[in-house]
Amino acid sequence: VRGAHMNDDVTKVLRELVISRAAFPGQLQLTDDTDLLGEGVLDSIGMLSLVDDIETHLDCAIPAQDLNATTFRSVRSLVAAVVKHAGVRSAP
Amino acid sequence: VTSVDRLESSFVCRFGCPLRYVVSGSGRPLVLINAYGVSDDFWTPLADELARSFTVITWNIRGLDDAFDGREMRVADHVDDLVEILDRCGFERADVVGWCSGAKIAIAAASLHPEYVRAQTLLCPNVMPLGDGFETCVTPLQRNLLTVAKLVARRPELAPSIVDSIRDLEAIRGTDGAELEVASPQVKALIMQPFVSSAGVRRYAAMLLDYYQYDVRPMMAALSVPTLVVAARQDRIVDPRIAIEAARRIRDARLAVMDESDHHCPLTDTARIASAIRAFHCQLPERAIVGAIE
Repeated sequence: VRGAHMNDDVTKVLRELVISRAAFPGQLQLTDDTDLLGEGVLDSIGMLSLVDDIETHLDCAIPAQDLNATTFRSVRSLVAAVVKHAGVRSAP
Repeated sequence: VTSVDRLESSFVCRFGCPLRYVVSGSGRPLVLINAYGVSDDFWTPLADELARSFTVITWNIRGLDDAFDGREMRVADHVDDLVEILDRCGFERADVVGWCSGAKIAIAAASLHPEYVRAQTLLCPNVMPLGDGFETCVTPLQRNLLTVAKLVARRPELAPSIVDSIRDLEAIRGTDGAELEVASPQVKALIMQPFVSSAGVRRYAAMLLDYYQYDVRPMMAALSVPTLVVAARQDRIVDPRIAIEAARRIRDARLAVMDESDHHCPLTDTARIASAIRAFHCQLPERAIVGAIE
Protein backbone atom coordinates (compact mmCIF):
# COMPACT_ATOMS: atom_id res chain seq x y z
CA VAL A 1 0.00 0.00 0.00
CA ARG A 2 2.85 2.38 0.84
CA GLY A 3 4.32 1.72 -2.59
CA ALA A 4 1.05 2.65 -4.27
CA HIS A 5 0.86 5.88 -2.30
CA MET A 6 4.43 6.67 -3.22
CA ASN A 7 3.67 6.12 -6.89
CA ASP A 8 0.64 8.41 -6.66
CA ASP A 9 2.67 11.15 -5.03
CA VAL A 10 5.51 10.83 -7.54
CA THR A 11 3.03 10.82 -10.42
CA LYS A 12 1.40 14.00 -9.17
CA VAL A 13 4.74 15.79 -8.85
CA LEU A 14 5.97 14.57 -12.21
CA ARG A 15 2.81 15.69 -13.99
CA GLU A 16 3.28 19.17 -12.57
CA LEU A 17 6.95 19.19 -13.56
CA VAL A 18 6.22 18.06 -17.12
CA ILE A 19 3.59 20.79 -17.51
CA SER A 20 6.03 23.38 -16.18
CA ARG A 21 8.63 22.33 -18.76
CA ALA A 22 6.31 21.97 -21.72
CA ALA A 23 6.95 24.15 -24.74
CA PHE A 24 3.25 25.05 -24.91
CA PRO A 25 1.72 24.28 -21.50
CA GLY A 26 -1.57 26.01 -22.25
CA GLN A 27 -2.37 23.58 -25.06
CA LEU A 28 -1.49 20.47 -23.07
CA GLN A 29 -3.88 17.60 -22.29
CA LEU A 30 -1.64 15.32 -20.30
CA THR A 31 -2.33 11.74 -19.25
CA ASP A 32 0.11 9.31 -17.66
CA ASP A 33 0.60 7.68 -21.05
CA THR A 34 0.85 10.74 -23.25
CA ASP A 35 3.85 10.31 -25.54
CA LEU A 36 5.88 13.26 -24.27
CA LEU A 37 8.38 13.19 -27.08
CA GLY A 38 6.33 11.90 -29.99
CA GLU A 39 3.50 14.35 -29.34
CA GLY A 40 5.86 17.28 -28.90
CA VAL A 41 5.06 17.94 -25.25
CA LEU A 42 8.76 18.24 -24.47
CA ASP A 43 11.66 19.10 -26.67
CA SER A 44 15.03 17.59 -25.86
CA ILE A 45 16.11 20.51 -23.69
CA GLY A 46 12.80 20.45 -21.83
CA MET A 47 13.23 16.72 -21.32
CA LEU A 48 16.74 17.16 -19.95
CA SER A 49 15.73 19.98 -17.66
CA LEU A 50 13.35 17.51 -16.01
CA VAL A 51 16.41 15.66 -14.75
CA ASP A 52 17.29 18.66 -12.64
CA ASP A 53 13.68 19.04 -11.47
CA ILE A 54 13.51 15.39 -10.44
CA GLU A 55 16.72 15.74 -8.48
CA THR A 56 15.45 18.87 -6.74
CA HIS A 57 11.85 17.88 -6.05
CA LEU A 58 12.05 14.10 -5.69
CA ASP A 59 15.56 13.64 -4.30
CA CYS A 60 16.45 11.26 -7.09
CA ALA A 61 19.45 11.54 -9.42
CA ILE A 62 18.62 9.85 -12.72
CA PRO A 63 21.90 8.15 -13.74
CA ALA A 64 23.51 8.92 -17.08
CA GLN A 65 22.68 5.50 -18.53
CA ASP A 66 18.95 6.14 -18.02
CA LEU A 67 18.95 9.49 -19.77
CA ASN A 68 17.22 8.24 -22.87
CA ALA A 69 13.99 8.39 -24.79
CA THR A 70 12.64 5.27 -23.07
CA THR A 71 12.82 6.90 -19.64
CA PHE A 72 11.25 10.12 -20.83
CA ARG A 73 8.59 8.57 -23.03
CA SER A 74 5.69 9.29 -20.64
CA VAL A 75 4.81 10.29 -17.10
CA ARG A 76 4.40 6.56 -16.36
CA SER A 77 7.91 5.69 -17.53
CA LEU A 78 9.30 8.63 -15.57
CA VAL A 79 7.56 7.39 -12.45
CA ALA A 80 9.15 3.98 -12.96
CA ALA A 81 12.61 5.54 -13.26
CA VAL A 82 12.13 7.66 -10.15
CA VAL A 83 10.91 4.70 -8.13
CA LYS A 84 13.85 2.63 -9.40
CA HIS A 85 16.42 5.23 -8.41
CA ALA A 86 14.68 6.71 -5.37
CA GLY A 87 17.20 8.01 -2.86
CA VAL A 88 20.07 8.02 -5.36
CA ARG A 89 21.92 11.30 -5.15
CA SER A 90 24.43 12.86 -7.48
CA ALA A 91 27.94 13.50 -6.24
CA PRO A 92 28.19 16.89 -4.50
CA VAL B 1 25.23 30.28 -53.29
CA THR B 2 26.35 33.85 -53.27
CA SER B 3 27.53 36.48 -55.70
CA VAL B 4 29.41 38.39 -53.00
CA ASP B 5 33.17 37.95 -52.79
CA ARG B 6 34.33 36.97 -49.33
CA LEU B 7 37.79 37.06 -47.87
CA GLU B 8 38.20 34.56 -45.07
CA SER B 9 41.15 35.01 -42.74
CA SER B 10 42.31 33.77 -39.38
CA PHE B 11 45.07 34.51 -36.94
CA VAL B 12 46.15 33.06 -33.64
CA CYS B 13 45.70 35.35 -30.66
CA ARG B 14 44.81 35.10 -26.99
CA PHE B 15 44.32 31.56 -25.67
CA GLY B 16 46.57 30.40 -28.50
CA CYS B 17 43.53 29.49 -30.60
CA PRO B 18 42.65 30.70 -34.10
CA LEU B 19 40.26 33.57 -34.50
CA ARG B 20 38.53 33.23 -37.86
CA TYR B 21 36.71 36.07 -39.57
CA VAL B 22 35.21 36.90 -42.94
CA VAL B 23 35.17 40.26 -44.72
CA SER B 24 32.91 41.11 -47.66
CA GLY B 25 31.62 44.15 -49.50
CA SER B 26 32.83 47.72 -49.33
CA GLY B 27 31.97 50.87 -47.46
CA ARG B 28 31.85 51.75 -43.79
CA PRO B 29 32.80 48.74 -41.60
CA LEU B 30 29.86 46.87 -40.05
CA VAL B 31 30.46 43.91 -37.73
CA LEU B 32 27.80 41.23 -37.31
CA ILE B 33 28.01 39.56 -33.89
CA ASN B 34 26.54 36.10 -33.77
CA ALA B 35 24.75 34.31 -30.94
CA TYR B 36 26.55 31.61 -29.01
CA GLY B 37 26.58 28.22 -30.65
CA VAL B 38 25.19 29.30 -34.02
CA SER B 39 26.97 28.50 -37.26
CA ASP B 40 28.59 31.38 -39.16
CA ASP B 41 26.44 30.37 -42.11
CA PHE B 42 23.50 31.90 -40.29
CA TRP B 43 24.75 35.33 -41.33
CA THR B 44 25.36 34.61 -45.02
CA PRO B 45 22.11 36.01 -46.48
CA LEU B 46 22.16 39.15 -44.32
CA ALA B 47 25.90 39.69 -44.82
CA ASP B 48 25.44 39.42 -48.58
CA GLU B 49 22.59 41.90 -48.51
CA LEU B 50 24.47 44.39 -46.34
CA ALA B 51 27.70 44.02 -48.31
CA ARG B 52 26.14 46.27 -50.94
CA SER B 53 26.41 49.18 -48.51
CA PHE B 54 29.06 48.20 -45.96
CA THR B 55 32.29 46.34 -45.47
CA VAL B 56 30.74 43.48 -43.53
CA ILE B 57 32.79 41.55 -40.99
CA THR B 58 31.58 38.35 -39.37
CA TRP B 59 33.56 36.16 -37.06
CA ASN B 60 33.39 32.77 -35.51
CA ILE B 61 32.44 33.15 -31.84
CA ARG B 62 35.18 31.18 -30.15
CA GLY B 63 34.96 28.88 -27.19
CA LEU B 64 33.09 25.82 -28.38
CA ASP B 65 35.76 23.98 -30.31
CA ASP B 66 38.13 21.45 -28.82
CA ALA B 67 41.01 23.90 -28.59
CA PHE B 68 39.16 25.51 -25.70
CA ASP B 69 38.78 22.44 -23.56
CA GLY B 70 39.38 23.49 -19.99
CA ARG B 71 39.33 27.19 -20.87
CA GLU B 72 36.30 29.41 -20.76
CA MET B 73 35.47 32.24 -23.12
CA ARG B 74 33.49 34.89 -21.30
CA VAL B 75 31.54 37.85 -22.68
CA ALA B 76 34.52 40.15 -22.12
CA ASP B 77 36.75 37.76 -24.08
CA HIS B 78 34.44 38.00 -27.10
CA VAL B 79 34.64 41.79 -26.84
CA ASP B 80 38.43 41.48 -26.94
CA ASP B 81 38.09 39.27 -30.03
CA LEU B 82 36.05 41.99 -31.73
CA VAL B 83 38.72 44.58 -30.97
CA GLU B 84 41.47 42.23 -32.18
CA ILE B 85 39.69 41.79 -35.51
CA LEU B 86 39.12 45.51 -36.01
CA ASP B 87 42.79 46.17 -35.26
CA ARG B 88 43.82 43.38 -37.59
CA CYS B 89 41.66 44.82 -40.38
CA GLY B 90 42.90 48.33 -39.73
CA PHE B 91 39.46 49.75 -38.86
CA GLU B 92 39.60 52.46 -36.25
CA ARG B 93 35.85 52.32 -35.71
CA ALA B 94 32.97 50.19 -36.83
CA ASP B 95 29.23 49.89 -36.60
CA VAL B 96 28.11 46.69 -34.90
CA VAL B 97 25.03 44.51 -35.07
CA GLY B 98 24.49 42.05 -32.22
CA TRP B 99 21.86 39.37 -32.50
CA CYS B 100 20.46 37.41 -29.53
CA SER B 101 23.40 36.68 -27.22
CA GLY B 102 25.59 38.71 -29.56
CA ALA B 103 23.75 41.77 -28.24
CA LYS B 104 25.54 41.67 -24.90
CA ILE B 105 28.87 41.53 -26.71
CA ALA B 106 27.82 44.60 -28.70
CA ILE B 107 26.72 46.50 -25.61
CA ALA B 108 29.88 45.55 -23.71
CA ALA B 109 32.04 46.58 -26.67
CA ALA B 110 30.29 49.96 -26.92
CA SER B 111 30.67 50.41 -23.18
CA LEU B 112 34.24 49.17 -22.67
CA HIS B 113 35.64 50.41 -25.99
CA PRO B 114 33.45 53.31 -27.13
CA GLU B 115 36.26 54.54 -29.35
CA TYR B 116 35.77 51.45 -31.53
CA VAL B 117 31.97 51.52 -31.84
CA ARG B 118 30.31 54.25 -33.89
CA ALA B 119 26.75 52.92 -33.65
CA GLN B 120 24.98 49.66 -32.92
CA THR B 121 21.89 47.67 -33.74
CA LEU B 122 20.61 45.10 -31.27
CA LEU B 123 18.49 42.41 -32.93
CA CYS B 124 16.21 40.39 -30.63
CA PRO B 125 18.65 41.15 -27.81
CA ASN B 126 18.90 38.71 -24.96
CA VAL B 127 19.98 41.11 -22.23
CA MET B 128 18.60 39.30 -19.22
CA PRO B 129 18.82 39.81 -16.29
CA LEU B 130 16.66 42.91 -16.24
CA GLY B 131 15.61 42.73 -12.59
CA ASP B 132 12.27 42.57 -10.81
CA GLY B 133 9.18 42.49 -12.96
CA PHE B 134 10.80 40.71 -15.87
CA GLU B 135 10.60 37.14 -14.58
CA THR B 136 7.68 36.44 -16.89
CA CYS B 137 9.82 37.38 -19.89
CA VAL B 138 11.85 34.20 -19.56
CA THR B 139 10.64 31.88 -22.32
CA PRO B 140 10.29 28.11 -21.81
CA LEU B 141 13.33 27.50 -24.00
CA GLN B 142 15.50 29.95 -22.06
CA ARG B 143 14.39 28.52 -18.73
CA ASN B 144 14.99 24.95 -19.84
CA LEU B 145 18.33 25.71 -21.47
CA LEU B 146 19.61 27.45 -18.37
CA THR B 147 18.46 24.58 -16.18
CA VAL B 148 20.31 22.11 -18.39
CA ALA B 149 23.43 24.32 -18.34
CA LYS B 150 23.40 24.28 -14.54
CA LEU B 151 22.80 20.55 -14.56
CA VAL B 152 25.80 19.98 -16.84
CA ALA B 153 27.95 22.23 -14.66
CA ARG B 154 26.96 20.18 -11.62
CA ARG B 155 27.01 16.77 -13.31
CA PRO B 156 29.38 16.94 -16.30
CA GLU B 157 29.22 13.16 -16.63
CA LEU B 158 25.74 13.64 -18.15
CA ALA B 159 27.09 15.44 -21.22
CA PRO B 160 27.50 12.30 -23.39
CA SER B 161 23.95 11.23 -22.55
CA ILE B 162 22.67 14.65 -23.51
CA VAL B 163 24.27 14.29 -26.94
CA ASP B 164 22.78 10.81 -27.28
CA SER B 165 19.32 11.86 -26.13
CA ILE B 166 19.14 14.67 -28.65
CA ARG B 167 20.14 12.18 -31.33
CA ASP B 168 17.45 9.77 -30.05
CA LEU B 169 14.87 12.46 -30.23
CA GLU B 170 15.85 13.25 -33.77
CA ALA B 171 15.17 9.64 -34.65
CA ILE B 172 11.80 9.63 -32.94
CA ARG B 173 10.49 12.88 -34.25
CA GLY B 174 12.42 13.40 -37.43
CA THR B 175 13.50 16.71 -35.99
CA ASP B 176 16.43 17.81 -33.98
CA GLY B 177 17.77 19.93 -31.25
CA ALA B 178 17.05 22.53 -28.72
CA GLU B 179 14.64 24.79 -30.51
CA LEU B 180 12.39 22.10 -31.85
CA GLU B 181 9.13 23.92 -31.75
CA VAL B 182 10.35 27.35 -32.61
CA ALA B 183 12.75 26.95 -35.51
CA SER B 184 12.40 25.89 -39.12
CA PRO B 185 14.47 22.96 -40.46
CA GLN B 186 16.64 25.52 -42.26
CA VAL B 187 17.47 27.19 -38.96
CA LYS B 188 17.80 24.01 -36.92
CA ALA B 189 20.67 22.87 -39.07
CA LEU B 190 22.59 25.99 -38.03
CA ILE B 191 22.02 25.89 -34.28
CA MET B 192 23.14 22.37 -33.42
CA GLN B 193 26.86 23.00 -33.16
CA PRO B 194 27.03 22.80 -29.35
CA PHE B 195 25.16 19.50 -29.18
CA VAL B 196 27.26 17.24 -31.38
CA SER B 197 29.89 16.35 -28.79
CA SER B 198 29.91 15.98 -25.04
CA ALA B 199 32.84 18.38 -24.74
CA GLY B 200 30.88 20.90 -26.78
CA VAL B 201 27.89 20.54 -24.46
CA ARG B 202 30.10 21.20 -21.43
CA ARG B 203 31.71 24.26 -22.98
CA TYR B 204 28.38 25.63 -24.20
CA ALA B 205 26.89 25.20 -20.73
CA ALA B 206 29.78 27.13 -19.17
CA MET B 207 29.45 29.92 -21.73
CA LEU B 208 25.69 30.19 -21.16
CA LEU B 209 26.06 30.39 -17.40
CA ASP B 210 28.61 33.17 -17.75
CA TYR B 211 26.36 34.93 -20.26
CA TYR B 212 23.31 34.98 -18.01
CA GLN B 213 25.41 36.24 -15.09
CA TYR B 214 26.89 39.07 -17.13
CA ASP B 215 24.80 42.07 -16.18
CA VAL B 216 24.67 44.82 -18.81
CA ARG B 217 22.10 46.99 -17.03
CA PRO B 218 24.68 49.54 -15.85
CA MET B 219 26.23 49.56 -19.32
CA MET B 220 22.90 50.16 -21.04
CA ALA B 221 22.16 53.05 -18.70
CA ALA B 222 25.45 54.73 -19.57
CA LEU B 223 25.77 54.01 -23.29
CA SER B 224 26.62 56.93 -25.51
CA VAL B 225 26.55 55.35 -28.96
CA PRO B 226 23.52 55.67 -31.24
CA THR B 227 21.47 52.52 -30.91
CA LEU B 228 18.69 50.85 -32.83
CA VAL B 229 16.85 48.02 -31.08
CA VAL B 230 14.81 45.58 -33.14
CA ALA B 231 12.09 43.53 -31.46
CA ALA B 232 10.49 40.63 -33.32
CA ARG B 233 6.87 40.25 -32.31
CA GLN B 234 6.82 36.51 -33.18
CA ASP B 235 9.97 35.73 -31.20
CA ARG B 236 9.38 32.70 -28.94
CA ILE B 237 13.00 32.31 -27.89
CA VAL B 238 13.74 35.79 -26.53
CA ASP B 239 10.60 37.60 -25.42
CA PRO B 240 10.22 40.81 -27.50
CA ARG B 241 9.40 42.71 -24.32
CA ILE B 242 13.10 42.38 -23.46
CA ALA B 243 14.07 44.29 -26.59
CA ILE B 244 11.47 46.95 -25.88
CA GLU B 245 12.82 47.35 -22.35
CA ALA B 246 16.40 47.50 -23.62
CA ALA B 247 15.41 50.35 -25.93
CA ARG B 248 13.83 52.15 -23.00
CA ARG B 249 16.99 51.84 -20.92
CA ILE B 250 19.44 53.02 -23.58
CA ARG B 251 19.50 56.76 -23.96
CA ASP B 252 17.88 57.97 -27.19
CA ALA B 253 17.68 54.45 -28.58
CA ARG B 254 15.38 53.90 -31.50
CA LEU B 255 13.01 50.96 -31.39
CA ALA B 256 11.70 49.04 -34.40
CA VAL B 257 9.06 46.40 -33.74
CA MET B 258 8.73 43.87 -36.56
CA ASP B 259 5.23 42.40 -36.31
CA GLU B 260 5.81 39.46 -38.64
CA SER B 261 9.39 38.59 -37.72
CA ASP B 262 10.59 35.81 -35.44
CA HIS B 263 13.77 35.25 -33.47
CA HIS B 264 15.75 34.11 -36.48
CA CYS B 265 14.80 37.17 -38.52
CA PRO B 266 18.34 37.83 -39.82
CA LEU B 267 17.88 34.60 -41.74
CA THR B 268 14.11 34.33 -42.13
CA ASP B 269 13.31 37.99 -42.78
CA THR B 270 16.58 39.13 -44.28
CA ALA B 271 15.37 41.92 -46.56
CA ARG B 272 13.38 43.68 -43.86
CA ILE B 273 16.20 43.45 -41.30
CA ALA B 274 18.79 44.63 -43.82
CA SER B 275 16.57 47.55 -44.71
CA ALA B 276 16.20 48.58 -41.05
CA ILE B 277 19.94 48.33 -40.43
CA ARG B 278 20.78 50.24 -43.59
CA ALA B 279 18.24 52.98 -42.86
CA PHE B 280 19.60 53.52 -39.37
CA HIS B 281 23.33 53.23 -39.90
CA CYS B 282 23.54 55.03 -43.23
CA GLN B 283 21.83 58.18 -42.00
CA LEU B 284 24.23 58.70 -39.09
CA PRO B 285 27.02 61.25 -39.46
CA GLU B 286 30.58 59.99 -39.55
CA ARG B 287 31.20 60.88 -35.89
CA ALA B 288 27.81 60.07 -34.49
CA ILE B 289 26.96 60.91 -30.92
CA VAL B 290 23.78 60.32 -29.00
CA GLY B 291 21.42 63.24 -29.27
CA ALA B 292 22.54 64.08 -32.78
CA ILE B 293 20.09 61.72 -34.49
CA GLU B 294 17.25 63.44 -36.23
